[in-house]
Amino acid sequence: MRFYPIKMKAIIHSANSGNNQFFPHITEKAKEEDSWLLPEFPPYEMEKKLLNDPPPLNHDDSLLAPFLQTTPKPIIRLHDTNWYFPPPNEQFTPNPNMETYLKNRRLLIDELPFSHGEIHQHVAHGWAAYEPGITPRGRGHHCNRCGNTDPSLFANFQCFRCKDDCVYCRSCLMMGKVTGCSPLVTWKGVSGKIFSETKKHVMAWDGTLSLFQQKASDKLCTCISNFLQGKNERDHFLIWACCGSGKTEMLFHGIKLALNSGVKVLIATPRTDVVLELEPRFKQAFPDTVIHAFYGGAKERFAQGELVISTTHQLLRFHRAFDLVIIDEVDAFPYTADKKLRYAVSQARRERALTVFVTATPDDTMKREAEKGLMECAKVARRYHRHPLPEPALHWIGQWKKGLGRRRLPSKVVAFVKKHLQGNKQIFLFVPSVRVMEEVEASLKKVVDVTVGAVHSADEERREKVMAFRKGEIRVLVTTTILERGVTVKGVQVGVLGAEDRIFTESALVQIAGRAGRSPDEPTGEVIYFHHGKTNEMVKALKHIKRMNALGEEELLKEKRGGGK
Amino acid sequence: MVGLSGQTKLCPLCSAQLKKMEEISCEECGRPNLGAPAEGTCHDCVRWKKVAPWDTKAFHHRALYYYDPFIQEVLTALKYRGDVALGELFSPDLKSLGKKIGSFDFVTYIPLKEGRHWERGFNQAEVLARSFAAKPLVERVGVSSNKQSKRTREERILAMKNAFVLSVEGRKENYSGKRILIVDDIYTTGATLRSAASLFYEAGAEFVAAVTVARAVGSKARKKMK
Ligand SMILES: [Zn+2]
Ligand SMILES: [Zn+2]
Ligand SMILES: [Zn+2]
Repeated sequence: MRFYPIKMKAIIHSANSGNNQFFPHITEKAKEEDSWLLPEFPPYEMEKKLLNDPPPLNHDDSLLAPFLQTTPKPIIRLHDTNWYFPPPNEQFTPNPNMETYLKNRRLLIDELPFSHGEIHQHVAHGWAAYEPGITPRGRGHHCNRCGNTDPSLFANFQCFRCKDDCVYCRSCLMMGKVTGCSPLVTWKGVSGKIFSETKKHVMAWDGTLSLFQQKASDKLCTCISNFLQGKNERDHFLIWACCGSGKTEMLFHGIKLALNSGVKVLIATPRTDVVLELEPRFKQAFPDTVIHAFYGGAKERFAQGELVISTTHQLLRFHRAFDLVIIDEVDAFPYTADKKLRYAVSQARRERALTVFVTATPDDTMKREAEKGLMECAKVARRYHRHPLPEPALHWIGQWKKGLGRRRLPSKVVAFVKKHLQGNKQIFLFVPSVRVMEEVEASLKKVVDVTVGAVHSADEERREKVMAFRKGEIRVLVTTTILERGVTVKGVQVGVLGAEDRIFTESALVQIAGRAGRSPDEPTGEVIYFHHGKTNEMVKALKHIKRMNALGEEELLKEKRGGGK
Repeated sequence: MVGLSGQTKLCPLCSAQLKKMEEISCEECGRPNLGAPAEGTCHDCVRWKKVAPWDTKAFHHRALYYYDPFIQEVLTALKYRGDVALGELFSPDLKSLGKKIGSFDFVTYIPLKEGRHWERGFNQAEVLARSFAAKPLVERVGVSSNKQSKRTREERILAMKNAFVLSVEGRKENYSGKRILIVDDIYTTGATLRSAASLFYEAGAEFVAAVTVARAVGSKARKKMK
């Protein structure tokens, strides 16, 4: 949409602007050359008389009239002026419903169930403000909602709202369209706290933490309490917790501490699966806390919560909202998704906030920062059941692709599968691509007489197949890296066929190995990387796991000697 | 998710999923041939011929694709999510389709009501007509097409009658003896397109035709296709 940029000079000196709901209620601290953004209201609002008074488009005020006679401009073309927004007018009672929508958020007009007239009234009284949805950057654009700057993810169209050639962001289109003429609306009001800051949050979880979990939990609590007292040196904290160490429980005490200090807590993750898994666990652990989960397809999109669990995408609606941000499985998605998540977090966190990363496989940058002490770090080297992680073995299988074309699996792989089927075990077989998956599935069916299943990311029956594997109906599951995390099956044996493929990074290989030996009843399991040429990533993964095990051993020894804490 | 490959074309994956309209059983509305013997003029078009101006005037429509869940997803992304870039993918193909029907003196598209147009920020039919030198000759009046998809055929036809008038620009032209092509996204009953077409016949046009991206086929017919 378009705005009339009116110089504050004209408003300051105009006699009747202050009495009008379309102009700032006060011109305090305004510079004469600042601009006031007067919207061109949508025609249907004028038709339906949603505005109490008609906007002063034919204002007879001689100071304002020249501005109103110009053609309004799309907001993207107004970035070179300073915009004036007044401080909140305490005499004005804002619409509480609008506050619920907008507080700590940044939303499109189209996402708000209020007329633009009413929204602008709140802007004039200093309770809301406009920001540009997209700003020019160099030769291209920057989407202020999602941080996209990739030229191939912007497109142009003839826009009815700004009557001009207009740009829109394709990167965050799923969240509603941000265009060059879309203002994003934010809330400026400070009073009228939605939640009481002295509320007592009860933790109903009464399980016990393992020695390893306890240490990480204590370290996190110290860090959070330092942060709450303004004494923290770093504002990033890494919990490097091996697969199966019970990372969610480690967070409970720290979150309780934060909630009881009246700060807002966010748990963000790239994966909807994780949000759906965490929501009931946190609701159970904190029964008196207002907890909302946001993910694509969730019914409630604009509620206010004391503890929020959100996917990366849904995070884009928040703005300067959270004091404690916990990012779960930050590495679960490739770099671009990661970049998006980081932008979303940078916008959703308060200016002063503490960010906690929780992952089994931090990337190199994060590891380096932790080592250098730029980021505080707690390592959790042992699983909840205290047994070491199964260490992978590397088996060379030569030109396996050739044989597979003739529906022949490498004999080592067949022997591995048969051995464990005889021992009545289930097998997870990871492969680098959907094509290989299909070939392996067909080849396996020729040599074994148990149920063989295969899944990949676009498989519509993914959930059903995973369920059948969990129940033991499927004995061998051939899968792409999509199941590298999250799926836990008791007594499962793990193979990677074609481990030299680029898709199997250190992080993927560590996560895959982490599928084995999860259950305390069967804490061991075989993990084999079948390959045609050892890669760096394979070596790094092996080293990673061995180091974790050694560290765990060391800490257990310390505990025996009585110096555990 | 519908993807774009390169700048302007459908990626091979998406294009393989689209079901092209090839055999037609009704010469007038372009109803697809789904195995049944060609009818010449279908049952629906025969019914239309009982009402003016269709008792004396011809109607002609052709679509690029069958309306199926895949194209539905593409058109939803275009219309409701506002991914205008997707609309531009079909525009050149619509132009070729129009050429197959013949040459035209005017090309226009089905308009939106102003409120709806503002909400959406664009008109999908206008985007689809991009490859033509299309003009906004028609304007919508009366009831908006809000929940058109939920109405019965009779209700829709009734609602669409008198839904359009010639726009200010449209009134400046002379249609006497001229050929006009109308562009829209989906053909359902044809009521919308016929309503707009009748305006031009009233103004003396010789021939009015329409092209759309997708044509809905009845549920029975859809079952046959599978
Ligand atoms: Zn964006
Ligand atoms: Zn625009
Ligand atoms: Zn017909």
